[in-house]
Amino acid sequence: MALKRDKAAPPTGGIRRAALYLSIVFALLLIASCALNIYARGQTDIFRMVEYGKSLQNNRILVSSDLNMVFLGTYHNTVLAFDANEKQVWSSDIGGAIEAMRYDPQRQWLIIGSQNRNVYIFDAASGENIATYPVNGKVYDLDYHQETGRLLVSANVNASSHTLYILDIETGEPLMTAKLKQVARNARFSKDYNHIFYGDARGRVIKMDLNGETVASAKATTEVRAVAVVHKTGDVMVLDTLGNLFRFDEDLNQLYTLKLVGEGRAVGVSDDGRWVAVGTREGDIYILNERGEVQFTDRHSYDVTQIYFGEDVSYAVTLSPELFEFSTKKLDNINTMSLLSTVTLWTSLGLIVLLASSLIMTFPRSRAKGRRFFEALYHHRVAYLMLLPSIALILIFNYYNVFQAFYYAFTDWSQATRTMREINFIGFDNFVKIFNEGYFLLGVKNLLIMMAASFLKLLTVPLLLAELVFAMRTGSGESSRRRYWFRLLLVMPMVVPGVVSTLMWKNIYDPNIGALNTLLDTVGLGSWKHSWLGNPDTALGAIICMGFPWVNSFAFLVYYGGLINIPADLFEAARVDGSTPVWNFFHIHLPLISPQLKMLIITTFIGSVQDYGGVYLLTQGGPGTATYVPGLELYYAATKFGLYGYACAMGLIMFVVILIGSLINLRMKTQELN
Amino acid sequence: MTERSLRADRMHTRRKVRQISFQSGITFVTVIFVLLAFIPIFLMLFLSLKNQSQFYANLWAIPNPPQWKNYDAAWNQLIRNMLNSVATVSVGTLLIVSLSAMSGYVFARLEFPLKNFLFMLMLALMMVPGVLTLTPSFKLIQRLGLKNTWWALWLPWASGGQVMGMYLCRTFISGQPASLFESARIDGATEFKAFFYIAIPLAKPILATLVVMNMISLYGDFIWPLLVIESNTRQVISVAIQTYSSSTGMTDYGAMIAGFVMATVPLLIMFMFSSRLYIEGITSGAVKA
Repeated sequence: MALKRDKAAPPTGGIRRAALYLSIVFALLLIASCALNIYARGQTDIFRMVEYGKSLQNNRILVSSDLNMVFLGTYHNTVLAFDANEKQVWSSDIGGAIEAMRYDPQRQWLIIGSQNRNVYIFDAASGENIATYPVNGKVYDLDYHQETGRLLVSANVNASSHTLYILDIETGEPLMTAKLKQVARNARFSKDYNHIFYGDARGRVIKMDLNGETVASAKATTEVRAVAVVHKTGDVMVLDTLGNLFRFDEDLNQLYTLKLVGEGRAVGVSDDGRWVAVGTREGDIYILNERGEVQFTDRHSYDVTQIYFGEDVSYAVTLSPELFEFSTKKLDNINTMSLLSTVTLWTSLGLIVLLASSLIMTFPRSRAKGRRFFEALYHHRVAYLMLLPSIALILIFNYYNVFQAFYYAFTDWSQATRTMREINFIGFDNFVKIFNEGYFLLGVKNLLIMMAASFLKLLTVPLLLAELVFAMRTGSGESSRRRYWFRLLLVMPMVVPGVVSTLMWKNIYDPNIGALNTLLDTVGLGSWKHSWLGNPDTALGAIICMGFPWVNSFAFLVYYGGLINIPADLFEAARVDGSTPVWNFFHIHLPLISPQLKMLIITTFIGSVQDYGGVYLLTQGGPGTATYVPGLELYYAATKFGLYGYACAMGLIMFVVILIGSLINLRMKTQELN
Repeated sequence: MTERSLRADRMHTRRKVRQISFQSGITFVTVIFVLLAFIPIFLMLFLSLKNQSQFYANLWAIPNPPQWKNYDAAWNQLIRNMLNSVATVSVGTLLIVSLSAMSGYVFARLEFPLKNFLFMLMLALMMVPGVLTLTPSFKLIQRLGLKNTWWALWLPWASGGQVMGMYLCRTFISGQPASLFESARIDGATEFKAFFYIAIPLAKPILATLVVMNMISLYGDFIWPLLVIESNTRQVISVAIQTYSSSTGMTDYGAMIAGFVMATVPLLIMFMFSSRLYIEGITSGAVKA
């Protein structure tokens, strides 16, 4: 120690000055790096929420560049028109949610398709309703070809009836009608306007000519949600509800496919074909380049209903008051900028560390302290390095989840929650619900019975067997061989996997061909036969009796290990005092294997509080609720019912129970030590 | 022969007789238990050779002729999943055992700042029930994009399994003579060398115990794979055997049970190689609270 302190003796002025200069350099670099980071983040932060159009749920947007106006179609049956100053010019209430909008720049017509089975034509500048064309079905999509004045309408009657129309825009007369047996949410003209592409609910992508004849087809994975045509190349982008994006060429040959996380909702293609954007129900927006490489992702709070690429400004519409605008120009160097932002972030962090250490070096006192810290760290580096993987894993895969569960236990997170931001804090509601309704409490009674049974099973048969094998006389070679074989034979059944032995017992309990009922028949006790797992009176008992005679190999070995590790002189001394085997058992065996006993009791306790595997495989909690346990209710809540917050709350209660049990166990141990 | 020695002799004989009858008594009871414990296994082997009509005719009749084709059916259905299980479980176990050995050694042999804190940080996880974190773990796997890959099994398995393993290794390695490590250090061995060449070879029994314990528990885990593995080509046997049993359960009991037997074989093979060390490890006294 003394030597070390000598080494850390007052630093010479040279070092201090050098450290000071270094600190200044690092500080300047840090400022530069932070500034660069802020700039890069600004460049990657491409979505800007706009101030207008704060209607409840926006659904569609359209920009007219000649009039310099923006039109919003909402889910609440209104069309809103805004001028260049973001001021509302007109609005109109039509009797249904707006699903599609098109624009005819020549006539300055705004064409609107609504769920109330009408196509409306408005004068875009004034908002005057020029014409209304009724169609047979809710309008899901429109496409428009200006030169010929042909309007493609996708109209849905019901889940098994759907119609595609081509209407003359002047008269509203149908030029073509194609009846489909599947919902085709989107239908678009091909690049040359001689064909129609649509995708249906069965995952088929169809190319149809203007007479309604299918020309080509392809497959998506599941229900097609959105279709878009790349007008530069004529390719077709198809998005299905599983988030699979496909790019087909004009003849529907697949060019690429990729899987995006989330439920696909909208797909948009920029006019120059350089950008493809995908929106999901979860609120994610993915922007891809021509080759289908994801360049940028951003997460919003609500489902994305449309991504509109305009000439100057582009928009992302979410089913909410939140409407975002973005510019494709920023997308050009988004890759570089996001790289830059990551690099500068890490550089800044590195520089902070460097700056801190050089500052520490500058001042003699902190220098000594810092040195001791690093020396300690360095001195024990082997320990920390060897622990690093373990600690990193438990932090990511255990502690993170534990804290998440603690948090979610107080929220209404469920399957119905679409995005993380919709999760609400609801206080103790989940816990109130657990105690007021649901099967959790119902299961507690069964759990207590099963737990008592498993303690009984743990404390009887394995301990008895350990005593029996231990009592086999040692000394001569014969008996130690006997011990060896019995030990091996008693451990051997362990190799049958838990799932297999449970399923095997299910088979033994089978009412028709089960070994148990057949055995009862054979020995003439046919009247005792039962549908063991199907009868509410016997189901719980049958689950408890599973695994008879409950030779728990692990517990047996642990007990046995405890017994053979008892020092032999203790028995010697007891024998001199004239002890009996029963006295030996209670006064030597039990106290000396109590650490083993305690370990087995606590692991059995922890295991049985949360156990539901056996019940799940054998009866699924039934018949009725005869074998329900809390763990099963949790599992169902998390998987079947999708009530994640509720499931976490139940887990939290189990955690508290286990914690109390473990603490009692710990306390018993400390008392003993005292 | 004097009367006294005669009496002593008789007493000796009587004690010997009593001893022998006591020994045969406990042997008999143990044999009964062993037989009972093996009943489901015998039943499994026996029933796996029957066809449907042999099942219904007389369950206890010797299957004549034995239906070896049951195993054909099971093999075709399950071999893929068995190989998956072998691959996932061996990697998972390897991870658990190596992490446990390292951290157990560190906590048993080394002194360093924050040691107790880190030790408690790991140990406290024993009290966290797996079901508490079921939902968040699933979401985490989904967000990391690991769903339907084997990483979704390996990483959480390794993370959760190492806690108990670390504790057992620590207890076992603490019991190794400290002088060994001191003399190694004096001879200039680094910490890593001491770990690899002294601690590990001496800790073989407990490591074997960990291998067997974890293999059995990972091999039997069916809740987690059921959640995170979707495609059947990657699914493990414990999940596949359920689907298999419910698909064959109504029509072909023999094939179903042949599947059970097959699912047992990998663990049996593993057990044949490690049973001696496993038993040695558990009975060494390290397994206690």
